[in-house]
Amino acid sequence: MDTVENHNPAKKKAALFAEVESHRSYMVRFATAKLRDTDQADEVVQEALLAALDGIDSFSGQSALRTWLTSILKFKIIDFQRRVISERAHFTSPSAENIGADSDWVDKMFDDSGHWQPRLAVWANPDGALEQKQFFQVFERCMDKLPSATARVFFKREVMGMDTEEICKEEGISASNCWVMLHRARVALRECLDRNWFQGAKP
Amino acid sequence: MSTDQIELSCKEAARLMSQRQDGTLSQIEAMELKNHLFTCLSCRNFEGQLGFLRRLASRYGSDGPPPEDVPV
Repeated sequence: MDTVENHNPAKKKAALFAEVESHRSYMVRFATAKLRDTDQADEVVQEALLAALDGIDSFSGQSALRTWLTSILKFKIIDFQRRVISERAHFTSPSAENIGADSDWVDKMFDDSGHWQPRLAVWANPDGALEQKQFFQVFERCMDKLPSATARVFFKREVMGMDTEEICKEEGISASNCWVMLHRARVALRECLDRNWFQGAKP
Repeated sequence: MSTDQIELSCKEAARLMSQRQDGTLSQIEAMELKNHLFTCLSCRNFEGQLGFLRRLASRYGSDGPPPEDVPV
């Protein structure tokens, strides 16, 4: 274990702290998807980050840092929800208005006969994009452009990996609404990545 | 009915491909989709991009972006 980076534990710890901090925006998104409130999300993330820094020595490095931070965050979110539920009635706002509001962006991708308009081109080197930090920034910006309920449903399904049944229950929507929202999210994100990354990345 | 198949539009095919990621399709839907994909390049591209979007989101939730500018 006598590697170069172990020679300066203080410096190593500072670098790890900085790395922990770099996951904050992801964690806020994660918490917002669960709590629907950015102020609450910020608060919970702050708690989770403090807990993480406190317990950084127990981070084994066996899992990815983000995975470890997320497990702490999940615990903090549950804890927070318990507190809130006991304090006041749980406020939920069904996302029906969002379902109507964004109803036509999928339609705009197709001509009157239902063909892609314009045609979809193949993406050059998508796996290469996964190795670039800027690409993830584009992805975050694209998620930010979605209506909030749509973004939340997508995040729960694809980022958190929840199944649709669970999502419907949490969101108070029907399974078919859930599918519609997921489809819209995917079509919009595909379009956004295409426009802001892959069209420029063509060889 | 089965011989008198109405061809799927891209719009419907896209919806089915998305739905397939969250649940299951009926046998008829699956067959219609398969037929459509056979002849439609745009939809095959969409299919690949949907799969990529899923990998991207899951990667985003696990390792996050590659740490290319973490100080050494």
